[in-house]
Amino acid sequence: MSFGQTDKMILRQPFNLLFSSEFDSLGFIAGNDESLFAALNEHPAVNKLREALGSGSVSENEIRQFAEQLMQEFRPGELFTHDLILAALAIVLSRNWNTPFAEEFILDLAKLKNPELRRSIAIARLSAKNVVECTDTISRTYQPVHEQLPANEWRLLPTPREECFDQVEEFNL
Amino acid sequence: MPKLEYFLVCESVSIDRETNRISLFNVIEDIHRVKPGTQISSPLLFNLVAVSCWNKLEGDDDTDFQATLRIHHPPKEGGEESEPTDLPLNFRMQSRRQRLLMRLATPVLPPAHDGRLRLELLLNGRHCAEHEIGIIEKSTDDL
Repeated sequence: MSFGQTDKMILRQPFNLLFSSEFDSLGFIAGNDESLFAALNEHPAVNKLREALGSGSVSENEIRQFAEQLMQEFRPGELFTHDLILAALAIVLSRNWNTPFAEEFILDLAKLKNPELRRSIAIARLSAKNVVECTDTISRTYQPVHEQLPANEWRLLPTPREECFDQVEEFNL
Repeated sequence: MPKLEYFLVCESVSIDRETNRISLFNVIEDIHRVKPGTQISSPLLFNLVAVSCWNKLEGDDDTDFQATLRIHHPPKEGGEESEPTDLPLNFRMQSRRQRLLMRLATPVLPPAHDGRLRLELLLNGRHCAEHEIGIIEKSTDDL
């Protein structure tokens, strides 16, 4: 198997694990985007990189440089050789969602429409969806039934009232 | 039982539609009231949003929980204690992390001296956290 210019990269652990034939074959084994996501998410190479990012032994900057190196081999009109690795990076970075680089990487990739990056774009979209949906919000507004004081005697700091789209309940002050 | 990640009371909240990130604006430390008898043209609404975030633990699926925002008012004139106000919110842990936004829109505060307004958060009746707000008298010239 040839990885083009990437052959010349000096890849350290755990990046080099993403270049195994076994990892590359995931693209053939997995069916739809969801099953590819699941297969990538549980793959040992992805787990190693995720752990390394979590422990700090791999930095976001290294992932950025790694991705930039990969993208040097991008050729318009040709399926991107490292599409699957890019997809793996999106999954790994989703654990760092609160950092600007991780968010930018995933959201920017998810917005692309290039057919050359079809799989990584799909995985980035699923990564973003998973992160966004892991937090749910319930909102409730409570309004006082009556005022207990003359309005001309008491007032709080002026603030504009925000729009409330949620359920409203009344309560007694 | 879900584990509380944070609890804060602020003036308003914004949630980014694309990223689902939450931003809290003006965490409330003090509020002001004007001196009794001061002429004010019209009452204004005051918003409080009590924001809590809960992390799901094992066994929390398919379980009903009740969060309660208990408002402890400052003592009444003469030092008599006020009854606290309970605002309940029932919920289930529908995802790994659950945010609860409990919004209060109120034009006035109940009778109070300068003092503190204590907002206590309970889960299934058990104390989890609280946020205290100072009430400071201020003349209209400062507003």
